[in-house]
Amino acid sequence: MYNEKIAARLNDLRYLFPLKKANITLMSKKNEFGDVLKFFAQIDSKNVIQKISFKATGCSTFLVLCDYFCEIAEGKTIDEASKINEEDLMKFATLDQSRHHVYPIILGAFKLLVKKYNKELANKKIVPVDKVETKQVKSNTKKSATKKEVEVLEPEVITPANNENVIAVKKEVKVIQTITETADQKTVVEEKHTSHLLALKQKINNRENNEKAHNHTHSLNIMLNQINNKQEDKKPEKKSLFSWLKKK
Amino acid sequence: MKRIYLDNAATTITHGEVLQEMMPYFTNVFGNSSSLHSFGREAVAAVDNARDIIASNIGAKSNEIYFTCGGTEANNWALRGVAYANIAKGKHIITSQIEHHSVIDTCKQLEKEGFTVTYLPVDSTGLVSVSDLLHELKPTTTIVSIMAVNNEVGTIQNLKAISEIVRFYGAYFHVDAVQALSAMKIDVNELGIDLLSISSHKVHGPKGAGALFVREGVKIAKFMQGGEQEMNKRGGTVNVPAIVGFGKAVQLNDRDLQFRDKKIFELTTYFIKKIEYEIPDIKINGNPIQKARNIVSVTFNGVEGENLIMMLDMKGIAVSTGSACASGSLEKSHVLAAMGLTDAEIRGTIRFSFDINITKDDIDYVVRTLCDEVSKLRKASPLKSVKKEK
Repeated sequence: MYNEKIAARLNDLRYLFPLKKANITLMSKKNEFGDVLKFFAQIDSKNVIQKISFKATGCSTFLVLCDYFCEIAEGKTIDEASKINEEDLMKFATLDQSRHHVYPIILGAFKLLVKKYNKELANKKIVPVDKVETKQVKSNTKKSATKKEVEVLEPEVITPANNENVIAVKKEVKVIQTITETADQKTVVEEKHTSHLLALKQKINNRENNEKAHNHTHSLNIMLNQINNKQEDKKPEKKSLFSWLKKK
Repeated sequence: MKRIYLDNAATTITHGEVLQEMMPYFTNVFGNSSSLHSFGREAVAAVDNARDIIASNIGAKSNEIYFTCGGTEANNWALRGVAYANIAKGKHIITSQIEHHSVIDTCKQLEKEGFTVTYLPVDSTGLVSVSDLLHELKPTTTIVSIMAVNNEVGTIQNLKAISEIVRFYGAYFHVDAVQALSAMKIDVNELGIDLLSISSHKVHGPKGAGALFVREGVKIAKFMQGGEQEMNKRGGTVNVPAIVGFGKAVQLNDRDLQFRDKKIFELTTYFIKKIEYEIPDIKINGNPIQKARNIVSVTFNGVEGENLIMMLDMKGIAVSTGSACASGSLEKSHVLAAMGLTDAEIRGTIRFSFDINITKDDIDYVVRTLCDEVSKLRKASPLKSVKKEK
């Protein structure tokens, strides 16, 4: 039963992790051998599997072949990947007949994943991975930078360990950049944001030993610089307004 | 890479002194023990010396020891030989659900040949209930076969209590002591044993030698035709070097038994304490009191034992599992199943079997590696039933 190639790969599983930004996942039902497989995939608008990973419970051959399947499926379109068959998987290692039961589990689970993806895509329950960010930015630009949106950035609800809140800050900065109100109004809003961000930065700096906090501080610094640069750009605009009033 | 062997219940390394004892029988003393000339007589003397050593070790007479090629042959012979020689008395055999395959499979074959076999259940620690045995014994029962030490979990059976009941019913009592020889002192008279199977390679002897003790007066059929060797009970040329090695190994085993038992107890206690502290959600199988000290069976919940074995093997650690994925289905351990473990628990069970050459540093390395690999495998599972790591 022992296979050197299987044993070596078992200690080097490259696709055994949960893909956090997967736009489709599928968990197979537990079969009679106790094998369970969960696929995670990022599929784009051209149906290309940009990334794929898995989590599984089962024998060594099962885990290794799941890993190998991910390796050959990644970068292929879902149609191409659906054509992967037992012979393709057999290329990895010559397996004992008793181990052949793992092939249909893997191939069957992938087919179900594709089926689920197509169904959910048709029902608009999911979005291709390359459309996700664009869609969010578009929806945000439609909104104006109202006071309500600014309130989202209240420092007390944002913690350094909470990555989502920092992403929210980034999104709000994008909103600020796209508002179409007068330059003075912009400056007021941006200053308010700046004060919030400074408060945040202060809070994060207090957690010196937190590595995540360091990363967040770095990203917030970048954001603060962006806003400062923007304010500097607006200074001539302010001057011209003042001179115009003076003239008047 | 460091290599640590923790599969001594499967086989042991041949002792240096045993090898030294065997060497002349591959070269100078090469005669066939059935030959009448001096070469043959030298071989016979060596085989009889080994027979004497083994007999005295288990409290038997020399003429009650028959050499075989190993424990499996001894078990086959005991069951088939007694079943067919005593067919006039009856065709009923009793054994337990946790016996070695050499007993279980032989019993299944005998069932096909018209015999009736009762497989006694065991409790959650692997002990056969004496009252169950009492309930199943019949006047037609010819042989009761119960192993002394279970090879997967190490549970030691109540041999004396069982033998008393078996003898009361006039049946023969066979004990598979293949794992027991290195774990406990066996006296066939004190324990009331009629037939006993032992094997050489479990006690640092060479592979290819075993023995069956058959008490004088026990009716047993000849096992192999084709010669008058082994007091005309087992045909075939005698494996002289292996038998010489077996004799020496038994002698050394007897000499070191107390010291080895104490050392192994220290090691396994240290190992059990460490894994219980370091790895969450595990279970030690077998009887906590009546247990061979060299065998530690551990269930790692949420882990496939086979994967763990392969991952440990890549780190130089040799252990074994009670189950194997074979023939398109999971062939689970019949021992653990009989003890009431679930399929998932059976799949996550690993057997560690120790010897005195293991150090505490080795155990530290094993536990450290186990922690890493078990954690990896638990994280790989898409199921969330496993408790969080410490």
